[in-house]
Amino acid sequence: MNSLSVWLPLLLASIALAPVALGACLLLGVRLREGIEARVALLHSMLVLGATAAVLFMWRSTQTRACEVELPPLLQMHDYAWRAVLLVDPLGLTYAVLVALLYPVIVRFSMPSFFREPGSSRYWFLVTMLAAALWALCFAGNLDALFVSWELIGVSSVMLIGFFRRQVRACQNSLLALVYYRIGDFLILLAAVLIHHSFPEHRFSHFDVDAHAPNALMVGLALLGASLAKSAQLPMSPWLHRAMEGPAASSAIFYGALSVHLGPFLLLRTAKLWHEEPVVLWTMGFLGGATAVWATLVGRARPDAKTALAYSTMTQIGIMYLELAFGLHKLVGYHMFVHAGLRTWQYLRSSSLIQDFQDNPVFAASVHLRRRLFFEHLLPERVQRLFYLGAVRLFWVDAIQQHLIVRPFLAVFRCIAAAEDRLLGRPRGGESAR
Amino acid sequence: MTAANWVQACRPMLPIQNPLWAFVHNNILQMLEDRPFPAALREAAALYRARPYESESFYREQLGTGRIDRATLGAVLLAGWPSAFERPRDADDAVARFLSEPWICDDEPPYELVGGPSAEHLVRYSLRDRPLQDWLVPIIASYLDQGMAPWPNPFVKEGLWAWFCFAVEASPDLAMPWAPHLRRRLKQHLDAGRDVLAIIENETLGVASPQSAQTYCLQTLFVLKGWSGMVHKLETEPQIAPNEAPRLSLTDWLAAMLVSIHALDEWFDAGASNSPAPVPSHYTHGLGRLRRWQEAYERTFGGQMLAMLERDMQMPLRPSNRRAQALVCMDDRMESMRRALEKPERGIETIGTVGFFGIDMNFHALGAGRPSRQCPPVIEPSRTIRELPVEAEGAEWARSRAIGRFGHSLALLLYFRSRSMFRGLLVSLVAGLLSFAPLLLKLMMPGRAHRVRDRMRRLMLPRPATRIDVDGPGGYAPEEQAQIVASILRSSGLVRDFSNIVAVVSHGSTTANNPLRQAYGCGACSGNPGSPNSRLFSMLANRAEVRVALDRLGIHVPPRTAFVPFHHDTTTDLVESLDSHLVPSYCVDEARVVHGLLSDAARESAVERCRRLVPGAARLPEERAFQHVQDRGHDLAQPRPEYGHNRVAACIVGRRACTIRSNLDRRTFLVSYDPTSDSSGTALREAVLGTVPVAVNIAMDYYFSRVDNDGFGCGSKLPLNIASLLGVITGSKSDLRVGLARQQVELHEPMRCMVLMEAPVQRVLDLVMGHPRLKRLVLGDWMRLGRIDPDNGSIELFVGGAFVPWRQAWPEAAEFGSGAVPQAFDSRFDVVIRGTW
Repeated sequence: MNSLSVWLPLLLASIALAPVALGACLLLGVRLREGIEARVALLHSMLVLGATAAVLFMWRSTQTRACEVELPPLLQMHDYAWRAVLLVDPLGLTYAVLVALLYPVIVRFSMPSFFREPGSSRYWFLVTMLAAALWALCFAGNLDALFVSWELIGVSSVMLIGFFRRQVRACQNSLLALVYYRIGDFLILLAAVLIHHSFPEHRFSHFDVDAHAPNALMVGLALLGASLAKSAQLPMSPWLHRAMEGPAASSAIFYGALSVHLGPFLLLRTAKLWHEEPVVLWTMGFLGGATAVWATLVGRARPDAKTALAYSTMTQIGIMYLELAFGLHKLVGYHMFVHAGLRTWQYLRSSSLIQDFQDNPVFAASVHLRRRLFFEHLLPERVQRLFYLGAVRLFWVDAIQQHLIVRPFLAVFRCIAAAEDRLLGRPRGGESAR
Repeated sequence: MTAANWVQACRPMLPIQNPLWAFVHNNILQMLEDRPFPAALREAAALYRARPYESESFYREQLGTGRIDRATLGAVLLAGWPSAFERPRDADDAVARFLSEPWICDDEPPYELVGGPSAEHLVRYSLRDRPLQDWLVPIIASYLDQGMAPWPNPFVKEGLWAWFCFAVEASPDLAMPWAPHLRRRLKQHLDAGRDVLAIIENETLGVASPQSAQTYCLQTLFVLKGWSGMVHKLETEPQIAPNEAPRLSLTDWLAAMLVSIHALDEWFDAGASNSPAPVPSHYTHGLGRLRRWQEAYERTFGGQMLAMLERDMQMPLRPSNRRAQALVCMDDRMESMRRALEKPERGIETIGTVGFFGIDMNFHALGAGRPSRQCPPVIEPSRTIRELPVEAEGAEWARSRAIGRFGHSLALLLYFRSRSMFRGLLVSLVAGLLSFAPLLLKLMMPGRAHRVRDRMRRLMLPRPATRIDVDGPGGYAPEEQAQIVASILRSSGLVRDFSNIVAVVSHGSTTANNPLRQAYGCGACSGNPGSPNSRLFSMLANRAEVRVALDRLGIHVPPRTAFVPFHHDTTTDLVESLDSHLVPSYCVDEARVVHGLLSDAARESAVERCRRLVPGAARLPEERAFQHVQDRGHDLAQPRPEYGHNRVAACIVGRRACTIRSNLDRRTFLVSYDPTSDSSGTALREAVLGTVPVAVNIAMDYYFSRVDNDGFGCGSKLPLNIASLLGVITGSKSDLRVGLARQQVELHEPMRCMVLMEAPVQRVLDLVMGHPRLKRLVLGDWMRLGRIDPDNGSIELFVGGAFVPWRQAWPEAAEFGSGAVPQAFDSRFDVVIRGTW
């Protein structure tokens, strides 16, 4: 107990050092020699690996299931103290082990591929920041501590989607991801406010008591909503396949492994709060199931390597939500872990497909066979075709959102802008973008 | 019908890239070769929306480093000084004015695009491509898909147009803001009872004049040029599809594009008037200057190379104690290997020839799903030859084939099942944990992991000894077999002084996780490894009947001479001995020694290559350098497994004696040809026709991908994403990319190929002027032609229709003292790769 309370904050601080240093270099315009950042990231990944092993060891020696570390308060007013709390328990450790295994792999993969790539300094900064944030998130003991990491992960994800910033599509898609993330962030913030407002205790470890507090249902729903955005579950799905603009390495670590699985992680973390709320359970199960079916249908018609993987990831996470709704928490933990490994491998190898199929002598025959076997052949032809078109067009989920939410939203603000212009007597600005 | 003619006229202009599994190097502007180089580039720049030369800043940098010689630039400028400007005093003045006044020599007017809303669209392409791609790319990608998506497109039997119409009609209005426009437009056409051609005509003539209609159609197709090219390719050559080409017609695709683009424009420009005035393409601004820069850049290189060759040819030849001969591919990547082999301590004479060794076959390897093309893209394979297990091992083969099929089926099963719902759950629960093993092993130590895997595979699947079924039905007749061998020996001048062992060395390349794998293979075997060809060639050349026939043709191969096949991997620099059970018993030991020498030379070449791959490699011990290239080849993460044909700039056809004293730094294709034993010119013909067009194709492919990688090439490898199993797109949705990736051509110095032939004037002229494509290439300046005189070694250049001594054509070229290395061949002046990877 004692060693953890000293060492965990220290390790956390040392892990945060690398992204801070790389970020400072970027900010100050210090150009490091090619390869320095990559080496820093390599060392950083080794540090994460070592720190995880150390925490695991210390946790075992405490002989308790969960131990908490309270950091000094950030704000103190009378008898109220606002502080971040760290928590070491099997769930957090599992995720930390996953991070510690996959992060060095990604760093190793990125070293040759980002060599001489313009903007690689940005990449190294963002990926070390991601790792530090993820590691902190694993051991976050209350929502406030978790929120900081959550936010940083979102930032690095958005920035890496737009990594090739000269491409219009990459920038637009990263903006889209940002919008969905912000909705999720807002919901977490809402949950945090509600927790501080009406819960007797804000730590995750006391959520079983809090479950009977007044706003528990609201908090549960807010957390569920927040997790949907990160894990690209319906209705917050349309950003995930658009996130494939970034380099393969970042697609793998974010959307194959460590970032998309944060939804189930957050829910597992807060499970004590909502696991007896039928409303939350039903919503969770329904959305997860719907996403699984929708993403399977859409994914089955995707003809390119990376977005097909995005949809299959979404499908499996949908199933995890179902498992959560059924209370199979252990299974979710295992599923999350192995699924992340599988998808990382598939994303990293996604450029091999032409080679693989070319070298596979049973490919042609087998594909014909496989393509004959599906159920949709039972449907009438017209319906079959409509389904196919729907799958190619994502069943218009994004178009519907665009139509029903984005356009009215923009229209309102355009009206306000116009009114302001009129009020101030300014001529209308240039043609507004559609 | 006129619209049909327009489409027909557009066809040859579309990008000609194959599906990537059958990638071959091409001059991507092959269709424009009948025009002079600058004119073709101007038109291509407008069509591809790309800069056809390097940038002004690049050339200025080269001028700074001396890669462009000031005097050469001056000479180029003076030769083509536009009359509109005051004539400069001398070369120095010309250069000074050229550098300080950016409008000087800018004498090529910009190319004009046909008017109409789409021309506007082309100009403002980056603003408007997204909605169009969002709409059309999923339609065409899912239609052309070759088996990546488990759900096949239900319209593949009915055609693209039916799928397009269905997609327009069945999409709800809210699908896209411009969906109502699109539906209305299509409905008008269909209500008027127009067929596809009539729709094209109607749409085109609505905005363009009948004279410019065809150009308008072409410019429309080039809005999504990669997909258009692929539609055309799969329509005209359905057998090149990786799996099964759907029913396709370029007409359908053009109609779909026209309707979509015009509907989009209508939505964008609602109320704006159509402007049929032509619009200048801004990619064609300032080409006059760039053309001169490029000329000076190439001429500087050419001058340095010729000066070096001229100097080195005066030096005495080293006496050699020859131990063996090696017949190798003419590939520029073999040049370093050849230098290593020819060192006195190894003493192997090398002869460069076409890497397919004259065998124009499709080769169906044992256990492969389909035959691979084993001859250059400029030759059509004449037959398909199978590989069979040696009879004695048939049973073993059956077992290992069964295991192999099981493994391959399992791989496919995992691919498809891991993407479905419940079975995906099972796969991820079971296989997920296992996937950590390859993830960690393969990434952390690629070379070693591969060796372990290879050893395991060989234990589980013993590969039987095989033979190539050349005498079976569809094989080569005995006289053809002798012809093949004779033609290669005669064209390469290997007709006398045979050593006991003649190594026949093919080459190939190992790369992992690389959609462009074929681009690294043997160019003469259409990107496939050349091992079947070297095996077959050696087998034929060792046959007694063939030897008898060779005797009759005047080539006396001593009975003790044995041809032994080897395979060189240009990425990992490993040399493998092939068909070792067929080596005659009396020279097994000698063959083993030669294998050892080849392996040593390959190692030495690996060290030389490392100089460009790893900085500070000069200090790298040989063992580490060798391990490094191994790891590179098997590394999933490595976008630069090797440097391919980077920096290639010339092709020399002649005796190795002309070049053996020079270090050509892997910059030239070297084809052996002996002018003294070829009185009729047939050997020259055989030596040149299989090689020079391939060399030009490779040089031009690299040239274009290098000068504007986003326009002519496929950009950085990092965001590439395989689509439809046909090619790559950038990110989640884009045009199908053509050309090479940036990492592949980074080190290239973009130039046209300089071809030197060691032959008498008349023989060269007869050959070049008698061959339509070579004539086009030479007269249109797509390559520079020169010759080396077989008698006195003087070098001449083909200028203005005749050969003139090269120093007369390029009087400004410097001379190099003995021992001086011209800058173009000096690694100290390379584009240096800094850092660790």
